[in-house]
Amino acid sequence: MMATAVFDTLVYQDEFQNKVPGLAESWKQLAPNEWEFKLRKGVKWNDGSPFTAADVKFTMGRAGNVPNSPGSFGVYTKILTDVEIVDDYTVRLKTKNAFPLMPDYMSVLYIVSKKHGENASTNDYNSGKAMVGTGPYKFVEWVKGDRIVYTKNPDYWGPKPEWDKVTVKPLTNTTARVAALLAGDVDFIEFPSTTDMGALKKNPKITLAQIGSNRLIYLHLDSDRDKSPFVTDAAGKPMDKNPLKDVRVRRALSLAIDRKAIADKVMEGLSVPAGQLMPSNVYATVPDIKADPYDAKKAKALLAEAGYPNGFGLTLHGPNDRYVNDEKVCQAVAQMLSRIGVKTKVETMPSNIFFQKGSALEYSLLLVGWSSGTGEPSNPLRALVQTYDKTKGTGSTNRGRYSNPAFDILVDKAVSASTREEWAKGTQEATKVVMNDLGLIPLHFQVNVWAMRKGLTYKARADEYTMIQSIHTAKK
Amino acid sequence: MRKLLGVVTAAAAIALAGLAYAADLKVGIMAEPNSMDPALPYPQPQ
Repeated sequence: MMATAVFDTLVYQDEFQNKVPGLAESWKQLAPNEWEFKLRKGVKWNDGSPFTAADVKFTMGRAGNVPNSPGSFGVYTKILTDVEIVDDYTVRLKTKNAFPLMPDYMSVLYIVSKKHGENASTNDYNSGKAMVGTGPYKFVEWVKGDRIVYTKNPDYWGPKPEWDKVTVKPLTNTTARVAALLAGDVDFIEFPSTTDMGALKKNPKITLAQIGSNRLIYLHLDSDRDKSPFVTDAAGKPMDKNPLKDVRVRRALSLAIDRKAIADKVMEGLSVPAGQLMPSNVYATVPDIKADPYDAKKAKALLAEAGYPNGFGLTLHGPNDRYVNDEKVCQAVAQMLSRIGVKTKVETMPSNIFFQKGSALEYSLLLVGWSSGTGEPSNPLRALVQTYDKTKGTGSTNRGRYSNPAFDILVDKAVSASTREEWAKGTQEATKVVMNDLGLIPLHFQVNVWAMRKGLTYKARADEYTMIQSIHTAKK
Repeated sequence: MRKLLGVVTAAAAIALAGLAYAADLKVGIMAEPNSMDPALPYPQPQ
């Protein structure tokens, strides 16, 4: 969100994460492993210098190589074998194998100025020295812990930005954020709490914008180790066997969860039950996969069939400050699992600790979320459920270490298909396999909400981004 | 005359304040980014 106001991508994502022209006016696949992007002419950096293909080439070199990056863009750049500058406004991106997802990958990389980015460190961006962009707003200052300030870029190539000055304030406490809006201290907030929604809807001075999110909330299960640290028998003693390796047990857990009750009672209507990794309106997902229905009887039968008629014990770990009502969702899931005899305790903690321990494989069952940055389903398939392989870059966030060689082959084949149609077909096939095997248990897709003072409008986005360039005065 | 000038000045100040209100925007977000570097993903997908 911070970058989107100042910098542009070659390909923009609209509110549904569909790909539309950005700094590139058009693109086409010249060969299965080669894409050509035609760049927009007349675009200027904030210092007045022209944007050209040299900036694109420079960005592709820098984006994956920023030192100490906690979440590198390398996954998007290391597939490139060559960035050919055909002329100032034409770039050809080449890969070793066929690669149908190039426009999607180019929708997440912010193009930086070669002139200002060469030799620039992250500190130079933080201080503003290198914050020279092509986007609708110009960076003014970042006062850590207090505010980020922008001013309009009158030379922006797209729709003219509306606000002379935008001050973005981090208000991490949800109640305080809503209070700041009601008091008029801020004009616009993201993610009001679900408990405030009723009052906000009734408040004539407030307008809401909401949309089904592409963020999936799911359970990751240790489906790899023979002994898992937080699995016990029904009496609470450590078990030598890991029941989570058995797909019948995973299915039983999924059937024990009443997703509709979670949506209605815990999320107060702000979630949609999930049966796959992205909502079914997204291209290349499977239209007819539904969320598992609540069926405790069938769940118990499956547990018995798998050899656990008396159930067993588990601990569900999750964050308490990352997703909407994350701790409450953990509690609800634990109660539902306990009802079928899987006695489940809950331990939640701040997300920075949770993610670190989860990635160190310290848990057996985790509540986690994922939003596909590229807005397409290969992204979560590769990151969450493909076999963990540091060299290949697959399974980078596979904290259950789920591994299914047949599924891996399907995903690999899909992402190296010659056309987007073949990719979509292969991705659907892979999704069916992994959901049939429950490589993870999907719970729900969040609903994204923004609240603002009356008189403003916002085009709600499936990717959760708050884009200041999309906040406008409502037309009378 | 002085009184009239005062009224005009006050009216102009109110009008300017109104303009400033229309042209400035304050936004509350749920988490501060770790960095402004556009090569560091924000928000994190997880």
